[in-house]
Amino acid sequence: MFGNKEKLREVSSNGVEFVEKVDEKDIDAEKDDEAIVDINREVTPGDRHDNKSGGYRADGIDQMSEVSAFSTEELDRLKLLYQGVPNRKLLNVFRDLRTKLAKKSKGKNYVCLVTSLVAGGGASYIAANLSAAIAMDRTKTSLLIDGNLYAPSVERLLAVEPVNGLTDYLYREDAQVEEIVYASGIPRLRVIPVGNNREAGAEYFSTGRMRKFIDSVKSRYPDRFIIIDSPPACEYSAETHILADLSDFVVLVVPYGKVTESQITAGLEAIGEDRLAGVVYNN
Amino acid sequence: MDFADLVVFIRVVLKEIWAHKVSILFSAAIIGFAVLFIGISWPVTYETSTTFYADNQNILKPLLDKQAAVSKVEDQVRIVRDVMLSPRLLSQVMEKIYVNDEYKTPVEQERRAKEIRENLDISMLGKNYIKVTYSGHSPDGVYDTLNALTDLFIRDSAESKRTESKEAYQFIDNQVKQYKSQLVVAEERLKKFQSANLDGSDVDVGERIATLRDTIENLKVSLGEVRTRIQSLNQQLQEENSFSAKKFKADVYRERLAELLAKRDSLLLTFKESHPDVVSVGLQIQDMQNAIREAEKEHTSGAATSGETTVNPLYQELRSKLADAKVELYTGQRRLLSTEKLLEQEYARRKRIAEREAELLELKRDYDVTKKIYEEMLERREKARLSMTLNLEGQGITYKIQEPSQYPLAPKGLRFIHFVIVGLLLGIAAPIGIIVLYVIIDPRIRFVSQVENIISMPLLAVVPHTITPISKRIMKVDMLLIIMLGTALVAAYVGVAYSHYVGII
Repeated sequence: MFGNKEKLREVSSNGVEFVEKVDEKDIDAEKDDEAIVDINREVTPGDRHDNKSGGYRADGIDQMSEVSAFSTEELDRLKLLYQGVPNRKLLNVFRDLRTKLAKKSKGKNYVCLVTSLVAGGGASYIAANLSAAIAMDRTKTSLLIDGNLYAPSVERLLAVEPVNGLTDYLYREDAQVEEIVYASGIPRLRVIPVGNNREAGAEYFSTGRMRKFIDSVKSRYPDRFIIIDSPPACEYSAETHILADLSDFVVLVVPYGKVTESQITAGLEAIGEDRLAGVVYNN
Repeated sequence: MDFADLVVFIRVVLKEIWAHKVSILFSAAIIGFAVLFIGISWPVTYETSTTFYADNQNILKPLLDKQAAVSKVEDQVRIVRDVMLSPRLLSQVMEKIYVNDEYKTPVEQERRAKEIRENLDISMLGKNYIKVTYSGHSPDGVYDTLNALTDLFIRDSAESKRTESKEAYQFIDNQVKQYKSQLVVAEERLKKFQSANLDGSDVDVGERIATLRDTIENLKVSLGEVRTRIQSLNQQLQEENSFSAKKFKADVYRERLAELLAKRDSLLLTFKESHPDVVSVGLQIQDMQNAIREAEKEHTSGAATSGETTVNPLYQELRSKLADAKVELYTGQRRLLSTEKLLEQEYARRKRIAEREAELLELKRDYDVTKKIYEEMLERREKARLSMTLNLEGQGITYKIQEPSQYPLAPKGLRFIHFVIVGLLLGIAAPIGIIVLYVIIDPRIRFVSQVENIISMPLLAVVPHTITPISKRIMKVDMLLIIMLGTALVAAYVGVAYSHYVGII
């Protein structure tokens, strides 16, 4: 068993793509992973004080500072996936989604916008879980940017109250990226909250600074995948459109029992066909 | 829609049911209890019926044929309805049933009568059976009302029939009497007229006139004859002068001579000429011959005397004949006159008869008509008498109770238990049905296939519904609460239904 684990590590460190053949063997492997995560938690003691300052200066994944991870109960409560989650079906769904998106970007890291058609459509949930699913791979990290100025939700993934966020960064010219990136309770998952300047935030999305910011976070680590949680496409089509332009592709979330056909069509039009990676149906 | 689709559909429906569990529970409770309360307030209808046999095929009918008028059965339904629903009978019914003045004011009585009218149904069963059905809200009321109605109806119909036929008989009897007196009067008048007018008939007069005319004709002819005779006799008497009395004497002698000659010839056949008789006759003959010669001499000398003329018997004969003829003429003329007078009288009589004829005809007509009507009336009276006797003896149309009314033990139509069951089922089914309808009609997307159809490409992922441990706990609590509430509601429902059933509510 241990040998198997070693093998997985080897493959990962070789920079090869995700091993995503989900079969019995893999599930066993994941169970082992969980054990390792636990070990890691002990081996890498969380430094909340470090995180308060917000930034991180490590250059590789291994050097990334981590906060103490959420317990499984916390993760369950937050509806977040983790290795060994009892709901294997859900885990498989997200792993499958992760694989599909990786295929679409041909293995490179990407900026993916997750938007729902209407408010409460579950875009934030899917964005968070997609990020979590990417972060499950030890060779990859994910960065979840909260672009939903109207109903920010990523703060819940943070163990601490965020001081600054994306809008602060865009507002203040002198702000540094490091100031707004927070470590979450999930290993290898970083979070950028909305920030304190939400009223004017939308206008900054179309600025060059925003584009530069996205490019910099994307290009900084080749194994970092950026997920943007966007406001609902039907209600805030302007923001969605701008954010979609900044992204490599868009995942549209269609919630159960909330939208009509015409709303879906309108949402698709707001995003544009070339950007659309696909539609996720959220029950 | 194949099985898999159906499963998906059912799953969606269940999901929606869970999502709307509280409103479903409440609407189920509202619907169920609403139906239950409708059932409680639903008027219970009891119905009972009785069947009459309207019998007119009695033993007497063939005997009577057309003599007595027997009512037709076809009219019976109408008759029964009219009689049963008549205010007279209904008021009697009410008097009979509601002895304690339950409906004492006229308005209340009218209302009750209307109710009875509305709830009574009369129909024809087969040829002779009449079914009377009555429905109401209380079994006692229904049973008593129908019994009273049928009882009074049968009694009333028999009574009214009796009275009716009796009255009819009396009426016709009176008419008969009246006509009889009229007939007597007419007869009397005719008799009086006939006794007052002895002229006889027109025919009699005609015959009489014809006879009289014949007589007159005959008389006229015979009168003509008599006149001719008188004329010729007169002529002959005028020629009397040219004839002498001698010639007349000689002629008489010659006759005598011839007689004597004949006598002598006959004597000679028996006797000889010497016989004294023959000699005597011969002497007489000579005398006679001598007399003749003397007479002829007198005649030729013309010495005639008046005494000789008057004694001519021929002219005397003629004169007597003339006298006879004159008498005859006279009497004939007298007869003609009297006959002509008679004829005049007959003509007058005929005129009188013609004048009286119109009057007679009128009298006769009166008599005939009266007589005819009288006879007809007599016949009718006999019919009426028979009908009356029939009805008096109960042999006319009679209503016999074939099927007596039964006390209604179970109410008719929708019963409380039906409402209880319907309420329960509807309470469960209606909200679920509405949810199913909602899922079908609501344009919002609930099925993966719908999304795929719209975007025309496969979905990236279908995220199942996640349940956090907390929400699972909440769900469990919810489920428990729902089950408890549902059980409590069902218990309350059954409790209300049961207490109504046993009569507490």
